[in-house]
Amino acid sequence: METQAAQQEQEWIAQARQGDLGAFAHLVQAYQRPVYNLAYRMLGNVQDAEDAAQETFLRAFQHLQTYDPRRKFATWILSIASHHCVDRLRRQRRPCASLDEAMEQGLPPAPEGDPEETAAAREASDEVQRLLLLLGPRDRLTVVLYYWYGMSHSEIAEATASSVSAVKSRLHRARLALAKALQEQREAEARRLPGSRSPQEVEGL
Amino acid sequence: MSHCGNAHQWMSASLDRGLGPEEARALQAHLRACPRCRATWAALQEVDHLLSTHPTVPVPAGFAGRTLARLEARGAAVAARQGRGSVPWPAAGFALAALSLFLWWIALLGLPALLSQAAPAIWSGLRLLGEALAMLARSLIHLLDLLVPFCRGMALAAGALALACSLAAVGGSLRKARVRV
Repeated sequence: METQAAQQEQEWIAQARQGDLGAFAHLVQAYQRPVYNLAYRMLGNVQDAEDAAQETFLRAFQHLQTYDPRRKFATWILSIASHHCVDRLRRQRRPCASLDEAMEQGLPPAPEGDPEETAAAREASDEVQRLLLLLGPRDRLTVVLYYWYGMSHSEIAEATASSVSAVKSRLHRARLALAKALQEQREAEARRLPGSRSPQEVEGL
Repeated sequence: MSHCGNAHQWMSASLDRGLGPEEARALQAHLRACPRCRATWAALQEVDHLLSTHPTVPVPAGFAGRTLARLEARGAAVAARQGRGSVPWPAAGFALAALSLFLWWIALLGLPALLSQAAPAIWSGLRLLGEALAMLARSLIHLLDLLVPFCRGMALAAGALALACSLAAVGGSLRKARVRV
């Protein structure tokens, strides 16, 4: 099954290389989810995520000749998305101070399903995003590729054009920074609410 | 403090499942002794757990369609450009214009003037180098003299051709620019 899918994919790539947009449409369908999610986690709002994901596919189509079929297509296209998102963040050079504002501007639509479950999932997703946006572009990218895409240190090194030891130290630094932020957040919450209740619970009483 | 630094490295390695049994024991021993690192370790584990949930967001409806539309629009522009060849036309036009001017200059004034100016210098140089070389040079110059009318004719024709090409190229690029606007 898997080899069949891989064969099909190689066929699409070969046809798209000849300029076949129909074949490329299949590749867009197959990879839109990982590419869009990477862009969303990197950029933090849906407008920029859509634009960056589209740009990734345009660049992929344009540079399809440089794709080496022995490599995983996913790694290749995610590395295009990665470079594009990091470039974009560098050009923006906006400090990550106004997180709440940034997040309110571009929250994704709620996933369908049980509303209570959805609200909980959304809260977790927001907290993760809030943490990610505390990191610099390259550290954020390393964390996203490691946790979201299950890439190994060496795969991340390949996708981000850096060394394995640089990837390891980025991951280490990023985790420590996030742990510190989380600790501070917890301490602030504890100071504000000595009874360690959330505001909703207090209101509900 | 360096103990804490080591402990941080071990914590990261542990999260990557790359911690040896000896280091794991050392980490545990340090955690028992150091409340700060205990707090850090708890926070690191929470971060790891949070990130491991890697929540995904849905792709907006119509994303693929919009991407392909953008690609088609760009593709049409690229194809239009490639239809005229991949030469940068304005640059080629100016280069051809410069070439035609150069050829005209050589044809009408350049080569004879160049030769007459250079001849005395060539002669004195040749005398120093000796009679044999002078003979060779003289015959070379005779050959050049013979070639001059021929060169002039060729240069005139090439100049005219290059001028025509450059006018066409500049005209084409201007027309194209107008179409694009």
